[in-house]
Amino acid sequence: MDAMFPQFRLLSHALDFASQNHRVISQNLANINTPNYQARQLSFEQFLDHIQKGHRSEPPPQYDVHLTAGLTARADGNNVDLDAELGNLKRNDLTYQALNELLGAKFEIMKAAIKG
Amino acid sequence: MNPAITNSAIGPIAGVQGIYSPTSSTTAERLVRPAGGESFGDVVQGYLQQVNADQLRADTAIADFVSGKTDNIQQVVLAMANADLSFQFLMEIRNKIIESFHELMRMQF
Amino acid sequence: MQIQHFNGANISASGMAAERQRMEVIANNIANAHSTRSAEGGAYRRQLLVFSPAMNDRGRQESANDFHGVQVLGRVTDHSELPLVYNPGHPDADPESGLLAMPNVKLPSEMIDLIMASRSYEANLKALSSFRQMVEQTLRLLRRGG
Repeated sequence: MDAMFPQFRLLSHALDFASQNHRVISQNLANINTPNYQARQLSFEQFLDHIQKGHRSEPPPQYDVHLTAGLTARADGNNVDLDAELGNLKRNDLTYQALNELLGAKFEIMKAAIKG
Repeated sequence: MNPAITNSAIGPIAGVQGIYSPTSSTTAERLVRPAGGESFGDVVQGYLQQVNADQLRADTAIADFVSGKTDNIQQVVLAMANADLSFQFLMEIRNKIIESFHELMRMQF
Repeated sequence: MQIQHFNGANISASGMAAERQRMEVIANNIANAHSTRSAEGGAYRRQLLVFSPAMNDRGRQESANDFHGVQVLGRVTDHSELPLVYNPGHPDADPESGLLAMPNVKLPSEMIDLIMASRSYEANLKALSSFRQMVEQTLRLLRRGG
């Protein structure tokens, strides 16, 4: 089933990835003091793969979550890096904002085209 | 005699196509459905169905959101915006059709 | 059953709640760093919270939807040895040796924990406000089109 304006789908799926990513980062931050908790991240490769295959699925998929590699665990076995996660949070925020603005601009163009 | 004028309401619109295919036969049936193409009515019909599908999709998204089945605000907003756009498009087309219909009715023969 | 909208906020909220509870427990530890009498008898023992990641029903964390933040499993008592101080004049001191059992609260480590808890609270707060921004931005898409 195709919506009438399939142009929006790429942006909407990218937005969905960013919002799932936000969830993962929030989970890492919420568990910053949980002993033995391992930091996780969303599979960006899977997202790219999904986009390259034409991102046809509706609704967008749930991407896999992996343990973040290359982190040093603290004494309590937790390996969440607070500053790195805050950086990820900010970056993800900006990405989401940019995508949202692009989507809004595209809506405006379509609207202008319709109004003639 | 031009058959388009003697036809009922849909006649004048079908007659527009008649102008572009002057070699077609004089029957109204041929004018409504010229060889090798969708008729104007088919296009509008198909479009109406798409607009309706967009509306239904937005309704489903809203129902899912209200009942807590989905938490994905992006998808709900997008379905809604899509339905909004396609409906505006439909209204714009409807206005143009009515406009041209009036134009034709005002024509002096 | 309760309908939960905007679950992303719950993750950060659970983190904030957990850190706040931790700060309360730490404050209690610090306040009782010199309490030599407690309801359980003997000197006050340091209290700790046990955190655990909140998961879905299957206990797995494979996609973002399986994340529900953190949960506080409970409060436990630190049973490490109580430091003994020679203080024969104290009513709670051992009458023969004059040694007094002090609480096993170490102020420097409690202070560090307090700072950590407060920073973690702020981090969760940031995640929560960025979630709010995301939702607001998305809803603005509908508004601008009027």
